[in-house]
Amino acid sequence: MRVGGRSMYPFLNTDYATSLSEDRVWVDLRPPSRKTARRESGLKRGEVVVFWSPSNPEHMAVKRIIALEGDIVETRRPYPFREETVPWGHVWVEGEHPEGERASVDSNNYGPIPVALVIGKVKAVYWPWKKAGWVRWQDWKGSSRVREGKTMEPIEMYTF
Amino acid sequence: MPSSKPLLTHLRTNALTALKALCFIHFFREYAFDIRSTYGPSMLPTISVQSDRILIAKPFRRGRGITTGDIVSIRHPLLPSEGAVKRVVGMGGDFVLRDTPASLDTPHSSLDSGTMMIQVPEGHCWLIGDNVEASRDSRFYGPVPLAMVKGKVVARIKPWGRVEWVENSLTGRVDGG
Repeated sequence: MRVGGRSMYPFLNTDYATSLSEDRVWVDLRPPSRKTARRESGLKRGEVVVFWSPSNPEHMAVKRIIALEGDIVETRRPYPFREETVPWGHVWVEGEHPEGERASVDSNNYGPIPVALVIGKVKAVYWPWKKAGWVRWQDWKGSSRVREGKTMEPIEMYTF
Repeated sequence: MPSSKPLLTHLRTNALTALKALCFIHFFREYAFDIRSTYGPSMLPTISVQSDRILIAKPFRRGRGITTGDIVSIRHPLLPSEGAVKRVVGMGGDFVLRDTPASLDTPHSSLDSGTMMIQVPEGHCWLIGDNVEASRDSRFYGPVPLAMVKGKVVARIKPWGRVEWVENSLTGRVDGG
């Protein structure tokens, strides 16, 4: 898959400032396991995922998962509330670009996204060759704006 | 063994045919039509509580060509491994009632009794079950991204006595506005 744009710079598209080349990445499309009840999605904080854009159904986006369901996120500017608890079955995704808040359109614009929108996890970069290799998302330090938490499964959901 | 070669060829031909059939079925179900069984009271009386089978048209996936009044099959916003079937009440930009219509909760009360009109964000749709009182829908989990739409429900095919096309009962009234 090709990755364009600068929202994940400098993690992806490292040459964004100097060239027009786009990174190509290998995406793991395997559906997340259904077995694990908690963390049902099998997604982890820090993982880089590809998902359908909530605002444009024909567009895909690449972002990093900042918070999982139940976590409390200190939001950034365009978001209407100062803090947000990520609901059940949702994740909070953000871009990487350090320059400013407006560099990336992410959960601060459209809120937490349903896990069902996630297409797959970015596992490796294969182009350009110079920096080809596995994506080391584990190196991500975690965000100081996230308080880890738990949420109840919405039991009402099963009544109807 | 002279006879083993034809047997191997035979097996390989059969395996190839089976593979092709599987691929064809997969693509047909992914991009043309899919048949799913449903449960739950939320779409009564259009779809009954148990063991109905519905025909889903996949060219409408990701909300392509969906209009107000269509019944869509979606991935569930809260339960990622499940699905749901609901009726589209508003598309992006439309104004919808956020809560249950007042007349259902408390008869004779007017609109301003705690209910609110909101605008559906671009690229989303507002979904409500036909059985308004027994449905968990957009009133519970908010507007649903169109990318979650798997397809449009075009027919009910299982209880043999009730086989029919699923009609869009809202189009006539909405087109004027």
